[in-house]
Amino acid sequence: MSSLHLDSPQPIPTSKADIPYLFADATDVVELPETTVEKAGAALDLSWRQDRALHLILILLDREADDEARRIAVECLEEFLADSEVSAFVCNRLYSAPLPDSADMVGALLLAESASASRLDALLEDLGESQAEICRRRREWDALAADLFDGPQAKLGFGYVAVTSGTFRRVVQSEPGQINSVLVEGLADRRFQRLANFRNVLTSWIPPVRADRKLAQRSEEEEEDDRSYARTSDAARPKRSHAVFENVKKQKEAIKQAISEGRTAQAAKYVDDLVAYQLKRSEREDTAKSLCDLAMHAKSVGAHELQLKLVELATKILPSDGWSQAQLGDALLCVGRFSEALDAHRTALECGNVEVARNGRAEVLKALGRLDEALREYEEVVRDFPHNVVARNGRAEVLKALGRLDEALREYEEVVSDFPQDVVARTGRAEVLKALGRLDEALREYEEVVRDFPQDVVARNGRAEVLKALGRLDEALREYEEVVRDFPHNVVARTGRAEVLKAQGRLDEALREYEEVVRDFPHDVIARNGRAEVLKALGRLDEALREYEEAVRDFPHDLVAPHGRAEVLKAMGRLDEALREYREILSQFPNDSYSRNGMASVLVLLARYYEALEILPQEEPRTVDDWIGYHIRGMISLKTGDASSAIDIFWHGLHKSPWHETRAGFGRALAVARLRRSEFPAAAEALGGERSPVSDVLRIHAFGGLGEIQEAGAALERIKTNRHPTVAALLQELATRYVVPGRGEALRSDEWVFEREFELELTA
Amino acid sequence: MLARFREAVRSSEAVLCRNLGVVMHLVSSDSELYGSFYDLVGMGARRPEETPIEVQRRVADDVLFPHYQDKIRFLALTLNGIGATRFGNCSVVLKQAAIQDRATVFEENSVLFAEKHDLGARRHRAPAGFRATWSRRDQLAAAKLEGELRPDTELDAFPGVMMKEGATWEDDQFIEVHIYGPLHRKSIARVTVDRPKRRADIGILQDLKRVLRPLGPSVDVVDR
Repeated sequence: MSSLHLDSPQPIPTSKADIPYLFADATDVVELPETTVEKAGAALDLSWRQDRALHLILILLDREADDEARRIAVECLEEFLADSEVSAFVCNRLYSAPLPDSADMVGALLLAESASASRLDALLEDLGESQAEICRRRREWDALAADLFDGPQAKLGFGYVAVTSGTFRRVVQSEPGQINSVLVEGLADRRFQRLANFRNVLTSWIPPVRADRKLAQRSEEEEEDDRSYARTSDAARPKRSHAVFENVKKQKEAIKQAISEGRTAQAAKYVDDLVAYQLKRSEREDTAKSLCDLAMHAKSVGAHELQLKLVELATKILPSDGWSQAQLGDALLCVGRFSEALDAHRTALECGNVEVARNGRAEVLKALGRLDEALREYEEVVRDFPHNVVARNGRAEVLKALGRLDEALREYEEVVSDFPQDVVARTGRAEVLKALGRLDEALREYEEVVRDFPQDVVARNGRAEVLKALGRLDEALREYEEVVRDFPHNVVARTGRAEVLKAQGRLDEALREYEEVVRDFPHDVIARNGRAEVLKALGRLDEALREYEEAVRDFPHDLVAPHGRAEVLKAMGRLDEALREYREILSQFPNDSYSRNGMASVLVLLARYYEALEILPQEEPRTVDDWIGYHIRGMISLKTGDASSAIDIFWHGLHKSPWHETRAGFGRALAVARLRRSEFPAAAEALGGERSPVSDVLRIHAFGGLGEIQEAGAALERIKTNRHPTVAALLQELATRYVVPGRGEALRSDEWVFEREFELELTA
Repeated sequence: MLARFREAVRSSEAVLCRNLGVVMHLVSSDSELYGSFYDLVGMGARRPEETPIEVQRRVADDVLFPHYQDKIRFLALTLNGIGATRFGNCSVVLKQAAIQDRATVFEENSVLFAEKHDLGARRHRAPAGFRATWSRRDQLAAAKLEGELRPDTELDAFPGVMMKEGATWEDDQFIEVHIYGPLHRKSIARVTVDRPKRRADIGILQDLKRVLRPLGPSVDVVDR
């Protein structure tokens, strides 16, 4: 006995002991009866080339494979495919199942083209064009009744013969008029004849086509027309167009996935391949449209830099396309390049894309804080194009930003009445209801939208957010977790979940969540701000400040980051800097009620009470910022010695404010007021079950005063690692008074304790 | 000297040698492309059991692995990560954790052993002392190879004592490893490949490295 090795000229003596090693798990054993060494060598060589060709084409189609490996694959395949037996071997297999969605036909074709590998190029083009037919024939094969075979293994074996004999491929490639020949060949093939029930199997899978007498009587002219048409490239065009369409679709899916997963470099490479492929095979408009579609996807995941690159490429390919120019304007808006965004919309207008351009311009004006101009722009679009729902919603949104909530609500209600299927209007209405403090109605609205549009992630997130606002934190968390499960790439759900964890006092978990979100979505400003806010809550003020400063630098037009920076400066006691920050924001955004409240709280800490009162709202509170302003009024009363008025305000807010977060603030403030009077039971009651570092400090005081050392100790345990300087100083004093053994000795005065607690609540 | 040899064998590994295409197929088991075209429809079910040659192996298997012979994979014990390369130019070493509970070692090639000891018609059981569990492979190796060790045998000669690979089967000498059950790419610790001479194999090797990279195993290329 001897064996042949591919690279060895002579046979090598072998024993039966080698058989387990030589054959191992082989499933492609071929018998060559009565052969010679030379013939066996030739068969081995052919088998090797066939095997390698199959490996190489799979490498070439594998999007994840290295460029170098793919280039070698192209080179070798072009050589191997010159042998018809190798080509048939590979094609028999490739035509037996549709390419998976992950296959990179576009990349493979581009590589074949760039290497002038014409045989390989032709194989790939034909394979691409045949995908629909392959899919159909594979489905038909899979659907063959199980009782045609002697069990699942028999069907596998039959399928193996169908593939390796080339029958599968011939079935795919045959015109309808040729299918009977394929069937006849199969029936005559000994490889099928050895299999049980082969006739029934083949005729079930390849039903014979009966010739129609009417068709047979077609005129000679009609026949000649058909033949002539078949010779033109027009005949091939529908099949080829469909193949191009399918390839582009798959390539775009792969790009979107790469974008969603943050694999920016890979996405960029796939985009280059897509553009190179599509420009050669489609109109320029198609390529520009593909790029704009991809840009919208990039926007949806917060990848604004990539969004911009994609639309810039689209406008380079087709500068006269108004849609691409409008998309460019939107991308520029997303990265904060407002004046360029306005220019792009002007160009879009000149290219004839009137509605989108004017809406885009209004959106930019809104982002710039030029709300009156934005409103005017939207109103003009609505006047000229009353059916433009984007303008109608845009107008409502600007009214909301101006604080004209009742008008905004009316606007949304009209849009919903005119366009009941417009989900943006319905969620917009819910948001205005929420802003008005009508949280139960907002929740009902969101629940109806979710019922009608279960795939709308904005509605799902909106519902979760209202639950959080109501203080139904466990439900809010569950809701966000379901959204994250259903839409894993939605950053709003991820940051929403982090916020709920923070509201529950689970600050370490909230921080971990934010850190993961920032890692997965580095362009998302909400995640960056959220992380900073949790650091502040943990008392890590220096880190929080650094975080906010980086956010301000990276997102210069974002309003939340400068708010956050001002709040951290306030918490650090750098009050003059905080005041300057707020004045700066208000000079650009005079309607910004958050900054107004922030500035008022700084003025209170500076004991400039009258100035603070002047800027605070006087009316009955409605919005969340109104309630915060009301809370500050209460704090002023408390500080200026009018404890009764303060307690009334806090009690009113605790019981009347629709927002959980503000109710928690009123509860804490009420506790501070009660503790000043040593009313420990009332103070403990005011705190309720709220979890936050400030409430835990107050809890130590309240329960310590009540002699409930266990409760006080538990609160101390929860916040002992908090690094906020005021928290640390208070913990030392309160622990000494109430918790540590030999307790009772006060190091500081009660007034000192009140001052610190007051300051803590105002800077929370 | 024997103690040093036994200690070295306690770190020995199981290695199989296959050609590059087979290894590539093994490591691509989770790939959609391979699943569509290599496994499901391409390589069918034509197994060695269906060939006449296979009959010759059956005697040893029936005695050594009664009723479960089709579940056994045959490997060799190695001290340097290299196997019997005349069966394939890729030596694939498996992770201890992946095999230690389902592997035994055997004195030598089981077919040769069956011939030598007349297993089959006359003898239905293998004599004791020639098979050991994975954890006791050092004992079996010591019992078999003590005579090959000299007082001046160097440490780096141990791999050659453990496994002698000749040009033909007559010159081979190794300790066989029997593993029950299938092998998966996650069982692979590392791969050593002879530097390919053919361009197609260079491309496939490149892809092999890429596929294994996230799983951890190294791929070393050697010139022999």
